[in-house]
Amino acid sequence: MSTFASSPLARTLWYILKRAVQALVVIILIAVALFLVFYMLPANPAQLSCGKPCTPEQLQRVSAFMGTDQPWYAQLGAYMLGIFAGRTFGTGASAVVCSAPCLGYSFRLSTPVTTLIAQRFPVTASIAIGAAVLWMLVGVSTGVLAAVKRGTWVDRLLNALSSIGISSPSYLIGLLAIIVFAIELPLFPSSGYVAFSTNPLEWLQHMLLPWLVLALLNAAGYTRITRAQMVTELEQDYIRTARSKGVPERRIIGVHALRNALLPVMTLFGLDLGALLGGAVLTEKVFSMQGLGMLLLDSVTNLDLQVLVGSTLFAAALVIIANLIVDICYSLLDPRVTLGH
Amino acid sequence: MKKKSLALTAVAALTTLSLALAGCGSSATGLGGANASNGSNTQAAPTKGGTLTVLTSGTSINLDPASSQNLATTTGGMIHRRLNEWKVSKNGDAELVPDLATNTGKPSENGKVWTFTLKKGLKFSNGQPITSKDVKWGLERSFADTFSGGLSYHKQLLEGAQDYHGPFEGQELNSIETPDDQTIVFHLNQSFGEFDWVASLISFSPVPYGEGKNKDYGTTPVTTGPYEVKSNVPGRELVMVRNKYWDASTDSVRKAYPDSIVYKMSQDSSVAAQQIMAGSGDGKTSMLGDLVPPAQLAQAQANPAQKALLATSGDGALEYLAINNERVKDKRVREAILYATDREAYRTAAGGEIAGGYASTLITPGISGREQYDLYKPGKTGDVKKAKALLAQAGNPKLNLTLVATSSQTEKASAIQTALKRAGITVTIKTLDSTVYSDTVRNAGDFDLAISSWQPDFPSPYANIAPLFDSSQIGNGNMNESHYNNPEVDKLIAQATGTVDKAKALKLWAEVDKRIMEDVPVVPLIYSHNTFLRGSKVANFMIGTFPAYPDYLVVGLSK
Amino acid sequence: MATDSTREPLLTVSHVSIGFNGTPVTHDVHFSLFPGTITALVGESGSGKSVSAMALAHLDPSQAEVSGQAFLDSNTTLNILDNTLDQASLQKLRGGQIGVVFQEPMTAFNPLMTLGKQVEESLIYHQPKLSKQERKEAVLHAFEAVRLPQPERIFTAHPHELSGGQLQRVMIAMAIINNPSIIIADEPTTALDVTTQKAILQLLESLARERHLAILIITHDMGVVWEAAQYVYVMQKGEIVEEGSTRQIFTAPTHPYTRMLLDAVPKLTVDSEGEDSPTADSPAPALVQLEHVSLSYSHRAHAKLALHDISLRIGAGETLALVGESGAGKTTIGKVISGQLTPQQGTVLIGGDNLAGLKGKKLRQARSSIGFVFQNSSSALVPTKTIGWSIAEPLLVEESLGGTKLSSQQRLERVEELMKHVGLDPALASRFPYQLSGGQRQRVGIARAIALRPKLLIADEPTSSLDVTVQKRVLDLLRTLQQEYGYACLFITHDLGIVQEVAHNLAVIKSGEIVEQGSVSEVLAHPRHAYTRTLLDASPRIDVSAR
Repeated sequence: MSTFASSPLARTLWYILKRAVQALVVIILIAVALFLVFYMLPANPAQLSCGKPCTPEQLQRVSAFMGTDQPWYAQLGAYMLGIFAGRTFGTGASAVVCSAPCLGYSFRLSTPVTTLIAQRFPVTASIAIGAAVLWMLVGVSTGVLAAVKRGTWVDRLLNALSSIGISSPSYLIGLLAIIVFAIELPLFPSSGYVAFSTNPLEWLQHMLLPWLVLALLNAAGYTRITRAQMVTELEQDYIRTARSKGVPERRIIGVHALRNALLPVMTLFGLDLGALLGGAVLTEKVFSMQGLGMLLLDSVTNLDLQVLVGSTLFAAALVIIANLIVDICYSLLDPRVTLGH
Repeated sequence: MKKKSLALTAVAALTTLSLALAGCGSSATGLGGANASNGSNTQAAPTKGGTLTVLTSGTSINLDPASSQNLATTTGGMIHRRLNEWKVSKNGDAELVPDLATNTGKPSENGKVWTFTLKKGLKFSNGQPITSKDVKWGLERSFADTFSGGLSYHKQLLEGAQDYHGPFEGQELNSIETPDDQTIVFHLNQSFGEFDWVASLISFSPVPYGEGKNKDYGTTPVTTGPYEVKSNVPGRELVMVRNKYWDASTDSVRKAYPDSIVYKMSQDSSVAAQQIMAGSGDGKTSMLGDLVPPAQLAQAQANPAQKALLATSGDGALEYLAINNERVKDKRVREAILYATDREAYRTAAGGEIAGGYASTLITPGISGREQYDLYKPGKTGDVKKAKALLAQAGNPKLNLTLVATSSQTEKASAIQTALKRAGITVTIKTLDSTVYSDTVRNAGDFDLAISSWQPDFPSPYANIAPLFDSSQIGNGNMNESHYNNPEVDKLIAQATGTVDKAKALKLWAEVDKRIMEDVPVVPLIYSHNTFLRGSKVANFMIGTFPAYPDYLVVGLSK
Repeated sequence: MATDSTREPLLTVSHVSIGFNGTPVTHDVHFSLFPGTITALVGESGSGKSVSAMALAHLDPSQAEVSGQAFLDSNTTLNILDNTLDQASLQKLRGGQIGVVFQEPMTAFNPLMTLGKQVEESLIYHQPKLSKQERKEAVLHAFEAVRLPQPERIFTAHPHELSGGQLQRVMIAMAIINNPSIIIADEPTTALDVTTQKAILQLLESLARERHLAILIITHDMGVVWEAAQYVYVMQKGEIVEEGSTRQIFTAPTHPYTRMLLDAVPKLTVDSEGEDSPTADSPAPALVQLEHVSLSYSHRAHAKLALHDISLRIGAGETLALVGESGAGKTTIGKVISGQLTPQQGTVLIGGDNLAGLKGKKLRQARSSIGFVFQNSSSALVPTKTIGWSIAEPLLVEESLGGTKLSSQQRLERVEELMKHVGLDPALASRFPYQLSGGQRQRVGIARAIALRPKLLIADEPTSSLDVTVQKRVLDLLRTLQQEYGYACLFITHDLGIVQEVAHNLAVIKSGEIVEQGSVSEVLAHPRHAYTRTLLDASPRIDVSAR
């Protein structure tokens, strides 16, 4: 380490490498934990593919084909190996090949998990990124407003609204929004997803309602944290210094206090966005969008173990990456922070 | 993170309905409450044309005849013709009619050899003629490991099927013979009088010889029915358009009114129901592929215009209290449980009068051969006195029974618990996750009581009784949940199964029904009713006596 | 009234009364500032000196109700204290006509912005016509004016990269950059080391002279007043009780409060005999002995040694003062003695026991024989617990470690006794920390520290956040208690002035090394090391005859 310490770039790269290795370890541990949890479940995923009626011989055949007749460590080993080397299920003419990086294979959907994730991720990303941008804008601006107007009716109103936002069940709000804005007043399409590449305008039409619902609910938390941070920052000595220089209040709030207040908000934002990119379950469900969240949900309902593990690993990786990005951003935005220590 | 996992569980519970359309017989649970008819009284006449939309919470639609479990009268029935088909009606029992075949099949005297002859001039959606080889190929495909998971009654019946692993490595299944392009002969390993019904299942739909090797064949298969698959994107949309090679004159069941049918997948049932009731967007020309969610059901019932859009089935799936016969061995105790059960209270817990009619037989209404009887006559609320007397005869055993239930069965379970308490039987309710529940009742067997439901895969007494009471169906995830094992009954089932003469067979089945009930392996509770929803322009939306689902084959749109 | 009646004042303030929620804080305050003159507004915390001064730039808390007049010589019609002053005039006033220097340079800058940018910001609004290049030049020029080395580097540096003294210079640069006529400096040196303090005061003095600035220094420290100011206003409880030239105030104070302030100033009297410092009659047996102790934080190879070859002893019942600037390693030595840090080299003997050899209960016992008093006692008190609870806490801990079990009545009595010992009214036992003054909280901290009758008391800057008069009383208390309890004391401070009041022996530490030690009188009278001499020179020495 000391040999690298000379150059800040080298130190940053070294840090990222170190974090990536840590992330990999975490991901492997998550995979192991997931496998164990599902191995503990009494159900054999092969039973769902056995057919009706199911004979013991048939069950054995399906289990052997899917590999679920193996002990857990063998299944886990095969799974982990598959990520790097790919794997093949069955033999001979009916063999199914899942090429590397094989995050698993869904027998229910006859598709490699990697392909499924690639299909679903744009949906979830569309929901998550759009909503995140919106809630950040709404949350931060209302938070700043509440902080600047603290103690006034504006502050109290925003506080009340954010209480409602925080305590509202998103599924229900989504449902209500659809009934009001898509069914009763058909301003938006009620459901479904149109790929951006297919028709950008329709994509936008379909995304608006989910964005609004998700953004308004999430913004509530951001209003609160931004308000709290702003109030704290506005009481800092450097704000008084800025005032003493004759800097206008607008700039004091917008530049001095806000930049400092946004640092912790950014941490939260990174983690929230990372988690949401791994699957916006309720939103996807209520707006009938086939994103990662629905994939995960489906895999739980249908005991599609490999999809479950694969998509969870992907989601976990997203959170970890988001975390890393937040840390790097932090070091760029806050000169007091240097990576690697 | 915690919040998310809670939400996940909640949503998982909400989506359990998604399997309903796939014809999973055991999940036909009546939600009840609708005082509507089984459809059609206020519906305008269907006309040819238009696009019918089906809104479903299902996230993928598998159309592979080998691995699909679709009912003959729902999605699969619209694109896949099979040897025989069902003709359902509102009044009479479901009938078996020839589909690809000229008649419903000719059994040998012992019922071990069945011969079918195909109609001439039939064609696949790719223009290729349909031959007996294609039917055979379709069945052979179902033995490949990659295509398991479908309706597999034939796998137990065809001779030599045990060691057969599908056609893709060059082997044939010799028990299926195709002496010429029109004729197909099945050699069975046992006498089986209802093979004609088995031949109505989706697995008996042809696949062009040599095709369907890829695992994803089921996404856009070659079809034989009035529609072909234009596109099928999992999670989004399945679009069916007319198959120009389908000849209406050869088909006595499918009406094929709409020009195209669009399935919108992964819909939220509540949102979809709202949309249909409000008639917004495609709502007027849509039908709901799922059962109507309770909230929307209540909403629709309060509004006459929306109430007319509901269709409730007649007596359908049998809901019963399974008694684990391996643990509750004394017949008198089981009989006492039957007498102690309060079916009225149970039905109230299930949603009231419209949740279903009271059940006393094992063969359900709508199936030929059913004879109505009530062996014990416990009355709607049970007969506690008799229950107590029976327990006294049994030496007043100290009974503490475990009733396993999923979280959706909580109210029903407590109705049972309260009723049995009247006779001094203590019931402990153990609420289980649905996966664990299935494993407990269908594999492990460490329970005393369970609430279950069964709608057969095809409308015959065999499909109604054998899966629930034949000893070969214990464990492996099979449906003999009461772990009922009576060699005498096994023999009777085998005898009825092997009887080729329909009239004789049906008589035997009625006897089997009663004979089983003499042992009280289960307590029949209700025949559940299902309620469905259509848009105001959907016509001919009809639920027959069997199955308790709308008949997709005849639905059309009105002007 | 003025130091030089021929000059007109740059700012005249009169009849200023400030209140919060209807409660008056200051009453009818008046003062005048003259060009080239440093005027001091002196008083203890809560006297209203800061609010009065900050009101001029409208920088006092927003709830403050201000009335009174203040006129700049440039515009004798505009009352700058007017509440209805519009934003534009206010911005012109702040940073344009009045520059402000604050107490805490470390927190007074936006941590995310380069210092160049922060100083430049002041120019943008007051001299909008300047180009970017001209602004930069002006900033660099100002940096040179406040004698900052490497102005280019400082321009691009962030606040955390600079020392407190450098930051205070940047702050001054920021205050003068628009050539204001008036500078208000609120305790500008309180947070700084004594050597830095001297330099900053000298800088202010020369700026006042060269630029004809009127500087108002707000301070509680008579030493600072003596060093820097030409004219003094003494404030007590919101009122000006006395004013006059510095010499006048120091030589002939008329108001009793002024006299009290002057008495409380620790006097560094360098007497060649050194007889009036309390010296132990005979060398007491060593309670604490450090031999050749070296320690480095962290395992990094390039890490500097935090302590290097430290050897010292504290005799039983004696006080050793450890003096040095911040970062010198004073607190680290305290941690080594208390066993919180284990040195890599050398031995630490407490009462003859090697601390490194102790484990488990023995170690806990050894530690419980050490009491601590910190600079900021309020942070050591649980805000939701009463004072009584906080004082009883060490007793309870001791009991849980196997000490004598006390009944709750006995415990109560002991708490009362302790409170009396430290000069607190036992009735305060049911109060919460926020209801006490800083001095009272420090007494609570001392009561906690002596509750277990420690053999050694480690006092880490125990009075540096207290007002002078309070400080004097706390120092008196520590001395009295030492006679009563007989503990040895390690007294960590940066203030040579108070060493004489409390300590028998003195060790001067610089960059982790002890450069000089000996008896207080000896070291102060004959400093051998250059660093000790620098410290002595920098200490405010009030020598009226020299003025």
